[in-house]
Order: sequence, then C-alpha cells, then structure tokens
Amino acid sequence: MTTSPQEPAIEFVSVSKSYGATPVLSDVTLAIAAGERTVICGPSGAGKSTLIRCINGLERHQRGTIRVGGETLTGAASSLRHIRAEVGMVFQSFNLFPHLTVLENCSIAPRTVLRLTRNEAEERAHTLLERVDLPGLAGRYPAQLSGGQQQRVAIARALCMQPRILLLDEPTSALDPEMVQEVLDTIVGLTDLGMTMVCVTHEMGFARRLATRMLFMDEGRIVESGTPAELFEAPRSPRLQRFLGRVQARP
Amino acid sequence: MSVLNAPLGGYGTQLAEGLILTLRVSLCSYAIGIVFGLLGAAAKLSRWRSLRFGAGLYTTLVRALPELLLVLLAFFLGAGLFERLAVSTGLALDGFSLSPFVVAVVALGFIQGAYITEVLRAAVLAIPRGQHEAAKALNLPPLTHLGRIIAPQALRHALGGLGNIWLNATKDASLVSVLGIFSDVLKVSSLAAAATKRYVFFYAVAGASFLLLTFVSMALLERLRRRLMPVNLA
Repeated sequence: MTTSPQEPAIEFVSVSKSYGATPVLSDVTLAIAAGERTVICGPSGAGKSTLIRCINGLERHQRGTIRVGGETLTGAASSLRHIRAEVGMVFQSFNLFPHLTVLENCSIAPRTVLRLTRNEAEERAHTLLERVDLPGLAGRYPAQLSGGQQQRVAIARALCMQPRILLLDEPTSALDPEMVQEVLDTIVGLTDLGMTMVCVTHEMGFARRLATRMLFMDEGRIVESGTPAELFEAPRSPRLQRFLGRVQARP
Repeated sequence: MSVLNAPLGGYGTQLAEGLILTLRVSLCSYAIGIVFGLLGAAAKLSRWRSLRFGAGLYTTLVRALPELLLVLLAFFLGAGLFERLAVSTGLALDGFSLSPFVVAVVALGFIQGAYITEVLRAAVLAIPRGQHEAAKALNLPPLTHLGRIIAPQALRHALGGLGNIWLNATKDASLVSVLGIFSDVLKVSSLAAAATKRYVFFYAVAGASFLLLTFVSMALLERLRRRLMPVNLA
C-alpha cells in the first residue's frame, strides 16, 4: 500500500452510522492528507470517538466509503488487516495487556505480526520506551505504573508497529490532572516522526500545540474545519462559539 | 502400603488402592470435563445461534439433574446406546463393550463440563472489551489474540471457579461407589465398616482421605495461582 502525495491518507465519503435509531455519524465527508495532524473536538456524544474508531474498523460504518492509504475499508479480514498494519491506536483507557510486562506489551505485535526476532523487537521497544521517556521500566507490569506512565507505554506500543497513521482517542481523559501534561508533551514530541495523527481531545491548549488542522463536530456532523487559529479566533458557527465559550471559561 | 495395614484394621492396602482409584477417576473425569467445558464455552460465546442454544441446553439440563441420576443414566442407558450405535455404524465389532471406568469418567466429565462451561464463559466475558480492541488495533493474528491475550487473562479469572469444580470432582468420584463395581475409597470404607462393625472409624478414615485430597489440591492450586499472578494485576 503506497500513498501518493496527492492521495489523502484518510478519506471519508458520505459516511453514516447509527446505533439503532440514533444517528452517530451523519454524512461525514473528510480528507486528511499524509502528515497532517488533525484534532477533533466537540461536545460529548458528537461522534468524535466513533469517527476515529471507524478509521481502523473498530466500529463499522453503515453507509458511505472510508479509504485509508488508498485501501477501501470493508468488513473483510484482509481489508482490516491491511489498514490496521498502517494505523496505530492509543485508547482513552490505555488498554495495556495487564498480564504482560511493559517490554512484552511493546514487543508482542512486532514479533507476531511483523515477525521480528525477539532481539529486534525488544531493541525497538527499548528505543521507543526511551522516546516516551520511560527508560528502565521495561520489566514492570502495567499495574505497577502510574496512569501517565501506562499511557506512554501504550503510545510506545503503538509506535513499535511503525504506523503511518496514529489515532489517539481522548488520550488524557482517564488521567489524574497532574499526569495529563506529561502525556500531552510526549504526544507533541512525536511530531517530528511525520506521522499522520488524528486526535480526539478536550485539551484545547494541547490542540493548539499539536494540530495543523482542527475539526469541530456536533451531533454526528463536522460543523467546522480549519487551522487551530481559524477555529479558535474566528469561529463561524454559533455552536462552535458556544462550545469555545464553555471550554475556555474553565479555570 | 502394607505398613498401613495394622493401624487400619487390615484394610490399609485396600484403602490406599481405593484412594488411588478415587484420584484416577477425579483426574480423568476432570480432564474430560475441561474438554467439554472448552467446547461448551466456545459454543456459548459463538456467533451461531444454534451452537449457543445447544450449549445452553447442555448446561441447563446437566446442572438441573442430580449427578447421581446422570451417572445412573450413563451406565444403564447411555453406555448401551453408545455401544449399539458403535456396532451398527461399523465402528466397533460385535460384542463391543465400554469399560465401566470409561463410562464413569466420561459421565462425570460430562457433568463437570457443564459447570466448567459456565466458569470459562464468565471468565472470558470478564475481560474488558478494550483488551480485544487493543489486540485488533495491533493486528494480532487470531491465534495470538486468543492464546496470548485472552486465554491467560481468562485463566486468571477462571482459576477460583476451576479449583472449586476440581474439589467437587474429587467428591463426585465417590458417586461411582453406588455402582458396585468400583472399589473407591468410600466403597472400601463402607465394606470395612460393615465387616468389622467399626462404622465411625472407617467412615472417619474415608472422610480423612477426602480431606487429604482437598488439602493437597488447595496447596497445589495456591502455587498455581502465585505462578500465574506474579504481581497483583489490576
């Protein structure tokens, strides 16, 4: 799967999804270029997480087309496998494997999916654990780490697969306040890898630092899209104005 | 074993052999129960409605009926039906007959399998959805997903329940004593008690034998638990 420069890394064409009678994504059309860092914000229930989880097929869309790196996402195992090979994911609740050490968490996929040898996989894991500023914790179990450390392990685990695209679904929402910053700094520190990043977050200051582009979603639709400066300083829609008024009024 | 003969009123050897038979029945039936339990849990968690229905019928019926009744049904109905079926389909020669030991351990294993099915099913369902999602997002092959992510965590959840069923299995093994063909520890004790009129003594010996099995089992289960849980996992 190669991505030509003009081909978007991620493309949604008229994508819709509903849970029963409740629509969660309504006719979403979107193109994200390779290397772009997109932050999705919006009120709860806007469909942000659903959108991001549709990109690697953790949720199935019902209508429309999703293409990732030129490959059309279908329910077929081979389509999912090809797309997931390019897409890493960081979850709100970390989802580390509790029975595996930090090192095993990071090396299991490179060993079983990429067929690296144990040494190669562990070397890569050590390099990336250092990158997320966690040297020396490789032998610990997730339960022995703080929330912020666990989330940074989860970031390293995703990076070990060398994805072109990294999805981050509210990566700091489950963290104690004093650990939020270390994780946000780690994520901002990844920008030099040149990955396409899509991040759902409620941290507006972080959004400004990370994003090359922002999307504002409400009620399953993309209401506004633009650079962080455009959205923060000149919100056009009343809904975004109200939203910003609320989140920025927070102490 | 003969050193035990004198203090046990001349029944030491028989009692020891009875205990070994009880242990053999327990171990074999439990192993068969694990197989039934794995199949049952897989069926209950399957996406196919007919498999879920079949497994539901199995666990409901087996758990509803008295175990003694099921063992008797196996001996006086199940084994005969199976033998006739095997002969009529040409899988076995005329006069084929199952050994009572096989009938007993399969019947007991079938019963334990129903309980193990429920324990394993609950253990798999206790694994947070995020574990499956992380495995999928990492593209782990299905066998790795099942074998390295789900099974080890499910085993930790299941260990308590499986230990309980094992302790029950050692006691259920004594059900075969009613069939009159097995000299398990309970049967030997009751024969010895009747022959010597020392009822309290020999039934106490039978009780102590089961207690011994339980103590040893608990010690082994605790070691297994410690081994599987190097740290207190969240």
